[in-house]
Amino acid sequence: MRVLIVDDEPELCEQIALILRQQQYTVDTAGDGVVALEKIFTDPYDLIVLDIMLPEKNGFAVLGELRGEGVAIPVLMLTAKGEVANRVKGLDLGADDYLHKPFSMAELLARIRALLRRSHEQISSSLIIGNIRVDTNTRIVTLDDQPVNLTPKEFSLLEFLFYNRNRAISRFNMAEHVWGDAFDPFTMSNNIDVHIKNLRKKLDDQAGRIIVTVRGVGYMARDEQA
Amino acid sequence: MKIRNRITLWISLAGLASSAVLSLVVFFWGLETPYEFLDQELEIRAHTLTDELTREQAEGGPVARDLERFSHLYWARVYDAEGREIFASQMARKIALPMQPGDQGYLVRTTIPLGSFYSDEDDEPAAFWNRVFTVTVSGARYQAHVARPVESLVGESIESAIMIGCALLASVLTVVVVGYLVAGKILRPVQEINRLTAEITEKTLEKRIPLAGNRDEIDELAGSLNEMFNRLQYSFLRQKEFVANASHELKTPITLLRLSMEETLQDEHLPLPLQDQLLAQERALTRISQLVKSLLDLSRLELSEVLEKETFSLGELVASVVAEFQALMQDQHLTFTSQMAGACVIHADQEKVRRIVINLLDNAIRYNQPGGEIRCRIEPSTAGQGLIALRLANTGVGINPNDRARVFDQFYRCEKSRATAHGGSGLGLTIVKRIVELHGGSITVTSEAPNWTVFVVTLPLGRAS
Repeated sequence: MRVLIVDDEPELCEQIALILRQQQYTVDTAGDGVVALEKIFTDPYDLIVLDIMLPEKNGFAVLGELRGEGVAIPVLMLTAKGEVANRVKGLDLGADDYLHKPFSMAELLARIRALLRRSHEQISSSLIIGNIRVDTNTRIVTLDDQPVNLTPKEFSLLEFLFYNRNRAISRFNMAEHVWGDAFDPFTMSNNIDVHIKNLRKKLDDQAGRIIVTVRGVGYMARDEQA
Repeated sequence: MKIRNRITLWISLAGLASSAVLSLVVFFWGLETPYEFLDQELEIRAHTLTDELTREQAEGGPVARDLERFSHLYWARVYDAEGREIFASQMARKIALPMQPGDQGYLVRTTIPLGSFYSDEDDEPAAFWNRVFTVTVSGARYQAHVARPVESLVGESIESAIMIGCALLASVLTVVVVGYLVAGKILRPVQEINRLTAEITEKTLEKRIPLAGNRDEIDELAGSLNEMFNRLQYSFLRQKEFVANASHELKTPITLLRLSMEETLQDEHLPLPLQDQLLAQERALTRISQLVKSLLDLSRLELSEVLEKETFSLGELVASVVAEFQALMQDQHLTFTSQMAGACVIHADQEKVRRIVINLLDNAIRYNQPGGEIRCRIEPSTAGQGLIALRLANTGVGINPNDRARVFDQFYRCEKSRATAHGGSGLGLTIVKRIVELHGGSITVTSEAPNWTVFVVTLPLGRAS
């Protein structure tokens, strides 16, 4: 999952980024509204954490512009405590949730998970296909209720596929969401094949019934019941 | 020939010419002058002698002793109007000298040593400077032939010529030395300008030559150079801005194109040939997208991006990047070994250093061979204090020695034909080099037989040291 954090306080940006990275999110940061919009319109994000007070272009303007362009990425607004008017304005402009400053990291993480679930029409924090359950909260994967030991990148890849169930995802797309910009997508698309192979082995899906190879395109998590 | 030497030569030649003219004047003037003095002296002698003689004759007395003594330093003969000799000095009685009447003095050389006329013991042959005067005393005409022994003026003139020659030499030497110093002084501002201009490179285009403000030619030159640098810097910035803007403007349509392409590919009923075409297009588009991203990154780095430095462990950073590639390396049966001298804490821009490691490791994997090896080593640099060296060696195709210097160039690939097979934007190493330079470090690439390629990144430890 790829997240963009927009805040003019570099320390806070880095702090949030650090914790999200520990949670295996792919994180980018932006210090002002203009850079934020540039990134939003060119890179695929799964979620944006947006502060209201920003130089160049404030959070409302950024939000207004991206919703105006029809970008439906979930947005979590950060507001100073007690600004009821701001909260209302933000939600009216199309923010999906808000969080008071100062906030606890646990709450931020919970809200991010909730927003990701909501945007992918999930009801619980567990993503289940067949006999595989991915708990996005505890980051534990079980196969027939038995925990499976996955590497952080294997988990992220599986999580991304499960969130986008029944959609064929190209390797380059997966590379961007799971590894981010710094890596070469060509090298990473090879890397993805390796990860998928390992995942199938660990999840006893060598036949590729759940993690389906879509000829030429990439992969898809197929949920027959959906 | 260097301008300094040329100026010295010109100054010296000018000095030599003027000194030579001066010397010639002095020399010839020095040759003439003694005779002029002699002439005057002899004339006075001739007159006084004749005066005295006529006074004595008038008094009817014999030639006085006074007169004898008075004239003992001179050769003198006085004739009356009828040509009879009325007086001969002591010297004149010893030696005869030819008489050549006229206004000019003349020299008569003898073989008699000079010492026989004077008390000094000079045995140089005597030469006489003669003058013949016609003197009229109270109506009577007399002819006075007066001469004086002179030292050999040839010897004198040789001596003086030598003297003048020495002086000339000394003066030329002085002119050469002074000329060299003066030339140096004249050229010092030029050298200063040269030094400063050499310091201004593509990377330091904002530097300027300080102006003295005295509006002289050198200052004007410096001013013109500065103007040129202004224009250069402007066009450089324009170019970089253009790349940045173009890349940015390209990103949006590429993203839109990719989204629609991916959406089309979701259609399971797409005919196979069409699907294959779309896949080829997606591949090409991803390449373009990667290229544009790299261009944007590079132009940001070129526009001297500020470093956000923090203190972190280089060892941990490398380990985390390696973890991202671990599965891929295992799949390709690559053996990775690393060797680190402790945590290797440095103070640098972590995200950018991460980029260095990612790009280098990506290369090491991409150009490797199945079953190959990658070795990583982090250690204090041998190049100097406060430096850390990250050494990444891999087996594989290796780099041709001719290509080695150029691998950091933009879009340079060692094997043109295999470029697409290996993927990549051709900008990875250029970005690496720029980040290393921004940190004040250096990067080298060497090949070690057989087929080993070694990249060594040297970075300053920064505040952490």
